[in-house]
Amino acid sequence: MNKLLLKLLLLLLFINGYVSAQRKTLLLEKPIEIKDRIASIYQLLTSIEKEGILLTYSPDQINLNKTFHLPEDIRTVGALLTYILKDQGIEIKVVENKILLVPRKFLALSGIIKERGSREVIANANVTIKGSGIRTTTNAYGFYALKLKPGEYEVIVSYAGLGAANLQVVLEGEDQRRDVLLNTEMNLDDAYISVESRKINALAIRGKQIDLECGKEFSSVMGGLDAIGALQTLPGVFGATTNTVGFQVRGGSSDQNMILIDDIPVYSLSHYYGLFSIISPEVLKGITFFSSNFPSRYSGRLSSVADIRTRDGDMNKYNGQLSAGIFQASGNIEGPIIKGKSSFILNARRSWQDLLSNKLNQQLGFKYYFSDINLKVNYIPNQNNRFYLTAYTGKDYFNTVIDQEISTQEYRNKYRWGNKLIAFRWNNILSPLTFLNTTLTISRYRTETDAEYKINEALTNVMSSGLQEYGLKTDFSYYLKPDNKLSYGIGFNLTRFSGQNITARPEMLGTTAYVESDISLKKGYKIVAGLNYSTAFTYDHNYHSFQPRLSLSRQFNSKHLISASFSKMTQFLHQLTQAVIALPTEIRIPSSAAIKPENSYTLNLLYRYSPSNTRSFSFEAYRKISNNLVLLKPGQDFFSGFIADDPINAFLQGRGNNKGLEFHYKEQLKWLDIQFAYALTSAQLHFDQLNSSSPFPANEAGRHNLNITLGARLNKKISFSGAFAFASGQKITVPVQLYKNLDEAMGIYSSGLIHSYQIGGVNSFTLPNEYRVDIGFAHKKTFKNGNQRLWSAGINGLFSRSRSQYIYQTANVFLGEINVERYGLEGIIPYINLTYKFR
Amino acid sequence: MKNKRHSGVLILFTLITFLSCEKNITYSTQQDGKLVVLSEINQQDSLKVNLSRSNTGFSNVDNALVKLTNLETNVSEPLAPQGHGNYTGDKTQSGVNYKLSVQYSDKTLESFQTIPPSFNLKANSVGKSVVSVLIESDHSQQRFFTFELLAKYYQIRYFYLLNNQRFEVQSDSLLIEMEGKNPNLITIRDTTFANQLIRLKFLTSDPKTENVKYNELKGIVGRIFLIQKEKYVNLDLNFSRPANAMLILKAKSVTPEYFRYLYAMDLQVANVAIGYYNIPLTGNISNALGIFGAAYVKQIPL
Repeated sequence: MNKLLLKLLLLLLFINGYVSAQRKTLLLEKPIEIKDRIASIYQLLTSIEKEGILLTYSPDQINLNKTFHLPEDIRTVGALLTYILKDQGIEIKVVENKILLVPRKFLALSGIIKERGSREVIANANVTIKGSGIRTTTNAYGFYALKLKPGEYEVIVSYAGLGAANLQVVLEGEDQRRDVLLNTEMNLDDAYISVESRKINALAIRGKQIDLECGKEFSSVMGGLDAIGALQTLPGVFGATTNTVGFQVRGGSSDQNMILIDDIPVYSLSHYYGLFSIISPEVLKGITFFSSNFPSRYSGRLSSVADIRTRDGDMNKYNGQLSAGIFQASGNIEGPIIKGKSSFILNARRSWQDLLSNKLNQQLGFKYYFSDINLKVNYIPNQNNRFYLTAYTGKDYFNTVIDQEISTQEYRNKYRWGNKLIAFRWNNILSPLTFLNTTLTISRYRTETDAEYKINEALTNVMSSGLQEYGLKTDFSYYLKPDNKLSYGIGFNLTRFSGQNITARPEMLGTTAYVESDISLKKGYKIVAGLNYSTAFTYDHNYHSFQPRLSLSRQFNSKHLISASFSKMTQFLHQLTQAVIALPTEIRIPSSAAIKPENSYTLNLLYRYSPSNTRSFSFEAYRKISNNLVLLKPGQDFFSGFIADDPINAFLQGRGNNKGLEFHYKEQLKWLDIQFAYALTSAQLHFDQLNSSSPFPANEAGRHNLNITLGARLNKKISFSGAFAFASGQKITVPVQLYKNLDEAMGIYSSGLIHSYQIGGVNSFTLPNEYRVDIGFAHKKTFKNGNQRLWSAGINGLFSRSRSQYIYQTANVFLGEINVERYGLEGIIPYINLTYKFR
Repeated sequence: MKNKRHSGVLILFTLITFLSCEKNITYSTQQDGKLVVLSEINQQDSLKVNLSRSNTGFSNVDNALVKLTNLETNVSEPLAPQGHGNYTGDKTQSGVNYKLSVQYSDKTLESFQTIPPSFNLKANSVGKSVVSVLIESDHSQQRFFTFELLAKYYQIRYFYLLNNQRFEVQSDSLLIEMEGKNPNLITIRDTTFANQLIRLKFLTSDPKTENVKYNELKGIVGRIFLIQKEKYVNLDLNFSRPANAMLILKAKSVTPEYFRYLYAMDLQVANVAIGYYNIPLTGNISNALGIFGAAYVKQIPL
């Protein structure tokens, strides 16, 4: 099988190599001496002819007067011709001993789509050639390219929440670079957002674009837009009833989700016991979410990829905002460093409960705060290059001092977790049809607890876990033909693990190479075929994995879309979280001789019906089979340090079998946004050493998961929101028989001996169903100078029964009863926020 | 050590309870409790079988017919009911196949066991808080051992005789002082041992043991588990010696299924303390809970 996949990879690489090889004939490789490096095309073509090379071209089709300042590294005929004719729409052909310069059959239309006001690039914007069925979407950096025959075209550029742009393009003779500015909401006189401007992005076949502009009203956490809160409203994404930012996708565990912020992998998402995500709403631009049909550039997680992009900062003017709420305060400022060329965005947040109630906290022996800082700087030296620097640092700090009567020891504990993220990126438009993105990333995550008993130091327990990941990757997008886009790239990452016991494994070196061809066929058919090849070199074993990706889709007119896809994903990094604990108390380990990489094979069927621009229905069915899934052995307790040093003694590996149906309805009316998402999920695990080798339900699996969200704009100033979430109850393991302990029966007494029990099957007990209702209200006032004041208030968990974050069981042996104590973030949590935006 | 395990839980509790709400669900276990058979045969002690029912109150079963059959001789010995669910019989022998039969409530349950072969246990050195032992056994097969540290507590009362009457003093030092003042004084030191053996917690850092290998029963329950793969194995065991106690190190070579049962049972006890009820425990008696275990026992005083 692997040999077949290797052949497929080589074939795809060959296709690309073939294109390059065409240009490298011997004639074109001939050296040329260029005396005058400032010259017109005419002079340069003449100098080639003086070398004895026959050139055939029509002077009418080339702008012969165009002058160039040639770089020193151009020393061959081919390099010279390619350089001077690159924008002329001329194809270089070698026929026998002649070079023919003939008009190209196709010309490139490319550019970058940006917001008019801030000049933010727009990812996933739609670029459509009216009346032709030719369409594309911008990449994460706003770049688009189309290969078209010479002619006149009407090009429509649109993006949900922004005004569409119509371009008249005449492609004749040479490639065209057309950067497009889309009108923002603010430019529409801050009026109601028109239905036309709120078109649902229905063109993308792969992934779900989280429309943050339109979702502001209902994806809020404590009144603020939250990236993970938005994800939790999607079908198949469970998490809304946890009242935290944790989430599981299609019955997979939370570690099977890859979170990328500007291409930086993030290992802990939460602040404040999961109440807030680490991504400040003010810096958030958009999210593309995949739970199937994964693009070949992604690998490393089994269940989902959330590609989160942050804003670049306003290129034209300074603006910012200050925000204060019950739990936190934040400030944001952005603006140009060099107008039109460089900008920045700086955001800082801090919870302030500890500051407001310092005395009370001291009495309670409690202190908690979180803080984070985001900084992003970018620079555009010219229209083909752009550099970005993203930096983030954030931490949570929790400290307790408790007088324990039980142990008569004063007890102190510090508990900290946090991320540090850095990314340096270079965007380069190599040619009108080739986009290059190179990113260097550093991600550092650490969690540690430090428990100290004042009297008995022997009981001091210090536990830490963390990792540092260094990554370098380069991605190419090449628009090979009008109907064929080729993507390929390569990446390296080095992950260093730190911590105690089992986490103290040295490091893992990973490499990834991928190639993917996106081919549009007639009658609306589209094939995307790709292959990702990943390796992991770990401390005692090396692994490699071929991960094929295939998608076949058909678009019937503009209303119906069907798609079938297959994806294999491999995960070399294993995260273990104790099933009953939802805090960042996890450990991560790399694959090794003892722990094999996890794999998933997902088959997904999609039908989407979009009767209008503002309404869409999606139905999906999937089957996901996984192997080498990792679970902690029963009895292993890493949080208290009771875990085996050797992974093989701490973990079990087994299989997973998930399947489900999903339904998604979205409608954006003039005054109302509605979203309805339902998922029916079955997730079964099969571990030989557990449950007598019989399959058992995954702890994460909720059979039913429903999210309904509403956002209503009454007028320019006032809006309301509401959200309802429902999920089937959590599966846990409980005893069904309590009985006498052998030691007790045999007359050997030991303190703490109580009873034995028999479990009724792994995860065989279902806790009550979970639900949550949130309501919110916002009032926005825009002042004459453009500044805005926004009051938002609401209640999270107006009615709720949330997922348990911690479960503690006790038994009453006299009554034969088990008491399950569930601790979760439950109850009414009101909030009020005041935000002032200055422009 | 239990406190250390508790400390992690305490962190969670303090964090969670500050923000969270507690909800309880109470449910009944399967009320039609099962018969529980708990027994160990060994070459040293008289046979004891304890019968009870699971769930509500662990009520004793005293009306069963319990028999032990020597499958070599095919002789069945009915065990004598002693009350409190206990049934007793004669000592058993190593290397002999036995069948335990329990006839109760129109059902007959059976289980089979053989006491493993003998082994040698020797204390190479006994220190104040550490004992180094040597286990010698047949290396042709894997052997499963458990170690327990048992204390037999005793009490010493101090008397002197005066006019043929006993007078008690509070301590040995007082008695010695009195002996110094009056060399002719008759003194009596009366030692009384407790009936029960109390198991003490002890530790090992030996990586050969299952306790260290899995790192989850470190000194919590007081049973050390070892799977021996070689003929000679040295093992260091750490303990703290209590006052007024005679210490006994008891080593048992047990059958694999009994070994797994004991390990899981101890793990259950350790995890119950922190509210986890997820350890599977598998016995060897169909249609009943519990275990019919077999062990070859050796013990040495420390």
